[in-house]
Amino acid sequence: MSTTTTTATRSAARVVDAVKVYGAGDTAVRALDGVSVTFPAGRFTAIMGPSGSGKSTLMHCAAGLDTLTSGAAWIGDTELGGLDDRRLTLLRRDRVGFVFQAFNLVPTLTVAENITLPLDLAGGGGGSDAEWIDALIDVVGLRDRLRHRPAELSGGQQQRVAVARAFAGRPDVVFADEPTGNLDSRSGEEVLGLLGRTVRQTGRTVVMVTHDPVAAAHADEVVFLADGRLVDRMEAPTADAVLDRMKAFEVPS
Amino acid sequence: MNTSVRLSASSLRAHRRRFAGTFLAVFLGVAFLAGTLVMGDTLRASFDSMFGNAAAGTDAVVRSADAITTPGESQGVRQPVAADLTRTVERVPGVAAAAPDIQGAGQLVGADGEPIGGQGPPTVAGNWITDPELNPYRLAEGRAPQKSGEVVVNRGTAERGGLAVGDTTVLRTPDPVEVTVVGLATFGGEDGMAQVTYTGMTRADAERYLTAGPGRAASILVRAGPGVSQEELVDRLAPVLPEGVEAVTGQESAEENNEMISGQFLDLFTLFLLVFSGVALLVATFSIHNTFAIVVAQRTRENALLRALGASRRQVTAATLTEASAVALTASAAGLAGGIGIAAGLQALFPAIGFPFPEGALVVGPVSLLLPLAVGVVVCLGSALLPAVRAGRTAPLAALRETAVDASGASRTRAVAGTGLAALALAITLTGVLVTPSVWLAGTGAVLALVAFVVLGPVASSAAVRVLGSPLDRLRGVTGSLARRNALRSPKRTAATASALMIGVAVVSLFTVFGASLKATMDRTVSRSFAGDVAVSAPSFGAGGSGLSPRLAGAVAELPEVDTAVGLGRGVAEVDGDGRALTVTDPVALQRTFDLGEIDGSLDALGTDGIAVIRQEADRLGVSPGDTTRLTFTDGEEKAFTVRAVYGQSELAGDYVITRAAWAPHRTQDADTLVAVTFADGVDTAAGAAAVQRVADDYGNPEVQTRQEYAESSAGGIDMMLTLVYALLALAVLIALLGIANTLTLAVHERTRELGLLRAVGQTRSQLRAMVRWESVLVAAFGTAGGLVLGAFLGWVLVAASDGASDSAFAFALPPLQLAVVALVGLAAGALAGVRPARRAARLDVLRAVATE
Repeated sequence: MSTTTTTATRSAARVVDAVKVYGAGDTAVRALDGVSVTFPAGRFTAIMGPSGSGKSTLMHCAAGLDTLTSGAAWIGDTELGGLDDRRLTLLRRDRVGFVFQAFNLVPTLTVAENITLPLDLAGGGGGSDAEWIDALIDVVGLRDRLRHRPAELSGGQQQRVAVARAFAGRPDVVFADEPTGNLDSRSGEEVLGLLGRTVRQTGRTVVMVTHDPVAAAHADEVVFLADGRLVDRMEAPTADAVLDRMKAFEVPS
Repeated sequence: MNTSVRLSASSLRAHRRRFAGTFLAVFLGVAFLAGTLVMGDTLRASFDSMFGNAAAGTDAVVRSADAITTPGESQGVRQPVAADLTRTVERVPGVAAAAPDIQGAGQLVGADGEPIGGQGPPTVAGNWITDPELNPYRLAEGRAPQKSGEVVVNRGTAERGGLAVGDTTVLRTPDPVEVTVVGLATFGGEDGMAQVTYTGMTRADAERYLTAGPGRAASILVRAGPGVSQEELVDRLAPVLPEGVEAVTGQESAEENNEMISGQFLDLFTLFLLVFSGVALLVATFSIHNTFAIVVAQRTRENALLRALGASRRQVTAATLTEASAVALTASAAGLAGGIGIAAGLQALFPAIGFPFPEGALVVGPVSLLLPLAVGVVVCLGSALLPAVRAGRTAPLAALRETAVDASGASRTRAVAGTGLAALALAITLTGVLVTPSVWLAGTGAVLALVAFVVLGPVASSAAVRVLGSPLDRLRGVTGSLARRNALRSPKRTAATASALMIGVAVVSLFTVFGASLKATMDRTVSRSFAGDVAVSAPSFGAGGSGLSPRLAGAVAELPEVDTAVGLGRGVAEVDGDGRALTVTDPVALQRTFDLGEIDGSLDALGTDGIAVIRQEADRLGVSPGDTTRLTFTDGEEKAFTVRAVYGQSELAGDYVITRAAWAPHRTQDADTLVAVTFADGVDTAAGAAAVQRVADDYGNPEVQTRQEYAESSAGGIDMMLTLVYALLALAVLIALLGIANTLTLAVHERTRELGLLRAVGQTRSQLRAMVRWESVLVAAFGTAGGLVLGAFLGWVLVAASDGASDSAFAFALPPLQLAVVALVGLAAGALAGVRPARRAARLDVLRAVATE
């Protein structure tokens, strides 16, 4: 792949002056209140913040699952605000990967089929991808489970399949929404390790929303959100440092 | 109980959409049923009052005491009475007026040269009775006929034929008679008696054209003087009447006429419609059951929570049943109102399409009110019973479990029971068809086969969907593959959804196969026993038409192109006490145009006292050539006939053959039903047919048909019947579609998060829509395939059972084109049913679907 210097200077996804308001009038809630943040390519970024800080909203808007009230969101060079539902869908399919907290897999499809789902939806699944998919299967370590159905897998195994699916289409960026929220700590550790390894070994980009300092510690950088605003950034985080920073939110200064 | 009611009320409010399909299914079935009952009652009452009004002036009818009824006929043939008996009747004290009533068949030709009517209802001609009280028809325009060639026509017929007062046209009696319309008449205040065409002529004309000889009348109508009741009048008339002639009151005669129409026709018509509303309701049962089963499955956690909080089984079951009752009552009541509306609409529509619907209020009897309501409620509650019991059995622990989706597959018990049932059904059916022919056994087997199909549905659905859906993977990629697997998810549900369509398609294919078999039978009959080159027949159907002129055969025979032309007339007589139809013809020529099979004896010299009999009838009577049998004719004469020949196959030639000379003394109005023609050697069929047509033109322009055309037109009524059946079955198919749509809507609701995930990772809206639509098509394909197989099997059973039960041999035919159309309609219907659920699924909010709970 390309060298780290070039990928590090490019942004995989970014939002500029992002504002998201739910409801109207007296009951209006400003979930995002002017957030500008860039997620550089080839990096693993974590979004942290207490409940209601707007971290999930930020991820949804940056990933094209939700639209901003004002401001702009970009995936690579594409501005999402100008896209209709169809183009947004195709963008998600071809350039974005997702790992959700739960219910990540289609129960009727086998593990192999779940992994290649975005490629199959695109109608491709052709030769050059086969090698990449093959490598992915080894990275997530599920070669002996390819013909199984999701219901036959443990929660950790299901999340690993979801990670493989997220990277299958070689997306510009993978968004992970509390990917370890439903897992025990050992399985969670496996999934986080997998995300981190994939970023470092293959130069992919991951943006992860979490409220768990231990999870955030796997990232290259953590951005902190509170009350819909970006309040801090932390390079090379450790679980303790993140925990300390988070405690600061709880005691209003 | 109170809690149950409150629970179900809030659940109904919350899930109104879910029950829309159930509501519609009950509504449509009940509306059909109620509409049929109300329309039947209304028609019956209208005919009652119409006949009552029309015959109000006739106090007594003098007529022959005996009627000869042949099998399959509703109305017997009565011998005429002497017209001069009128004078004797007139002299009886208390008689104010008497008039002979002469009746026969007479078909008018319209202004466009086409005959009017004749496709079912009778085409009646008679003498115009001058006493206005005795004549059921009233002059509405013009005047009564006064001299030969003048006629009065009922207004409805005149309008249909484009005739007006002063117009000249032809009346076929069947010999063409040139007539001038001098007046238009009404019947009981309407333009006519339903679709019956009526032509009134002078008494002299009527005697000349409609009876075998002058001085005869069908009956004598009598009006009583003031103060004489109908019963008194009949008592006074009785002593002066000769033997074999009776007097009945006008009321009795009107009731008989009414019975003929409402009793025979209306009852059959109503029964026919009731059968189809039964099919519709049966289909509805499956749809309703399915909806409740799914709703209960989806609500497992909710019900389990209730149970955990202390609700008893009975309370949970009652809540579900209360919900069903609410849907049942509202839908049945709405259906009842809808049915009455349909009947009212038809009452308004019929006159607009030229079918005089007698005026009168809509008759809504207690049966028409209560029966549809009861059936609607029973069907709905019965369908919901099992799901409700299952709801009650929910374990409180189920509240803690993740899955709420009914993914129950096919149990081993079901597979074994279903296979056993299918084997039993097959055994009973085959016994009833092949070993000891019995319609009852075959019917029982057929019903069992239907049950076996429904029981085996879940077992078969997985395999069937896998096979039917296998082209989808290649055709539609991952979208098709997802659709196929969704259809495979809950075999029980897929089977139950498809069962409704299966029954609808099975009934459609049953009729399609039976209709095609009847046509094939007709075709085989013609090709086997009709040895002629062309057939001349009057285009008519049922009781209508006036037949062919008896002189046509002779005229055609004189053509140089023609070798033999033989006319077949129809007579009736009692043979050894049973009414039978006779074929009146030239037996020698008959043998040259029809294949009569193996003949014992000879038809060459039947003479005036000889008869030829089909083998089955000869066996029944226990006669063989040389024996005698006694025939009693409508004029009361009993005569011994010698059996001179016994022939092997009849089909077109009838069961008894006598000569014209033997029939002549007993004849009424002369008419042939068919003239069969063979050409001389070397005559081209087209040229010969053209020559025959030129002669036929002078005899009222009947149709000249080649053998193929003759076979096809003989089967013409079957297509008409099939069209009607298809129209009626459309409702059942519609209900089945509602069922598929409803199941899919519920499934989409159930899979909200999964669909959200698919959309999030890049499934476009159109891919999502296609996925839901293809699932719908797959379910429909399974139902259609099952229905086609079951329908073809039942069709075969019906044909084979009819073959065993009747004299004539039935041919079995599977019409590939029609069945392919049925299959395509089934698939298209599936695609259609999927449109709405697909659209709803595509509108899904991705974010809300993927957001964790």
